Amino acid sequence: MSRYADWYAVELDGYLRGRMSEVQRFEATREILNHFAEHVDDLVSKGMDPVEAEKAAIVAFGSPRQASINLLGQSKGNVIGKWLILVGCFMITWLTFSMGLVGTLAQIQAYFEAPIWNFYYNNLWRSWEILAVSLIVGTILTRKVPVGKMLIAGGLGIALIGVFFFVGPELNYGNVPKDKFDTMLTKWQAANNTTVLLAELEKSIIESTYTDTFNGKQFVFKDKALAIDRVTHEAPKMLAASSEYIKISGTRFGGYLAPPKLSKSQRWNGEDTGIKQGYNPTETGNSFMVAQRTLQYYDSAEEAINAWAESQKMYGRSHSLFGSIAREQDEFIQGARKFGMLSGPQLLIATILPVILITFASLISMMIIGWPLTKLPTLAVQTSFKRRFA
Amino acid sequence: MAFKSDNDALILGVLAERSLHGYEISKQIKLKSKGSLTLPENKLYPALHKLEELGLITSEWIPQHGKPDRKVYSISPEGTKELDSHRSAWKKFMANINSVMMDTFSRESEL
Repeated sequence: MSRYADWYAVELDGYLRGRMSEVQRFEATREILNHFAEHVDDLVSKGMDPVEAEKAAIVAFGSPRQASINLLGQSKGNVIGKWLILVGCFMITWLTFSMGLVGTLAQIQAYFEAPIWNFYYNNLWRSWEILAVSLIVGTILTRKVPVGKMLIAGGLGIALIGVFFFVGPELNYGNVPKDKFDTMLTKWQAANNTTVLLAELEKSIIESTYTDTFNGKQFVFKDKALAIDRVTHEAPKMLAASSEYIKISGTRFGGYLAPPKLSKSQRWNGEDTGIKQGYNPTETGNSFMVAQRTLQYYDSAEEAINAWAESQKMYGRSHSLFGSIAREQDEFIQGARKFGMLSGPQLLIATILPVILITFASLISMMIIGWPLTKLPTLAVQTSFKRRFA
Repeated sequence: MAFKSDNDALILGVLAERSLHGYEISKQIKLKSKGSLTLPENKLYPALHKLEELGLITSEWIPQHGKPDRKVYSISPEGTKELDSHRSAWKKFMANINSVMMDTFSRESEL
């Protein structure tokens, strides 16, 4: 036997390393080497040149990669990998369906704090993590990118969205009856107007004092009297409208606004503010509740406004938070108005197209990532073998 | 009348006569079937490992001089039972096919 069989064994061993027990790997490689030796003897006895015979035996057996896939097909790692891929593909279906469902419900059903929405919202990103991890680990273990399964899963998810639209509440625009839509729109607009007023108040505070005193410890408002006056007179209006506002504002997901549903204790503990999570909530409606809480739980407007200014320090904010919220809220109202005017089929197209695009972009990304993963950790060895064998 | 043709049955069939190593099993299947049945070589070993795990065959390493060690497989009593059930299914399958195809053939010949 010459070096070809040895190179084959090295590459095969590389593919099997970490995916089979040491003993199994050793025995499988030895057994295949014996197979080559027997085949070579057979061919040489028929008059073939030994080196050519060895090449022919290797070609007849198939590539090291294919041999490893077949050998691993019986291993526990492969079985686990296949299950992980199934989990991943199931998640694709579920997420694709969820995206359509959430998109529609959050946009149209925002007025109501639907439990189903909260379930999807709270679990969606965790689901993506499960999807990614299971597909990546499954791909490594099975040495195959499950292109077909992923496409079927994505297609199934999109089909489920279609089913949802045709058997679901699309004709009623979610749970918002058509005849009540204008009334709701008026309420949302009133809440938006209040936010705009608050944005003006905040802007006046920022412009008069905030930038001057940001680096210092003390927050002294040059126009504090005006600020307190605005808070005293406008805050009650804002708070009165806040329950409506909170329902229609909230964290964005996939271009849609979605209402947060948190208990008072959660809000009080700052779980809604992002402080505990360590991110800047400037662009989220949750920030609104920082201010709301501050205003709600202090005894006087002066105390509240000082505390609010203190709470803004950590973000180094130099622009109007409520201005951002007002814009976000306005976008929501525009979107709701637009969606409210769509017919059922138009609504289906408006929602399903982005979902199709997102789904297939995700699948293609996973395939692009998955392909090199199937080559690990033997990419260099394989290239080397192919070059030498050529 | 279902009969599932599979590699496991072919392997058990050739091992029923005598113990063989992997390459010889592949060769015997081809030889006995007069070249009409070929078991893909790199699918042979996973099938052998599976049968061994199921206890239908057993194996033994035989050291060799100047060549890698040879792993020789033998059929186990459980494997013999499994082969018998494959044979029964095949006989039944053949009988059913014959009753349909050969009956038609006989009537056509008479005409």
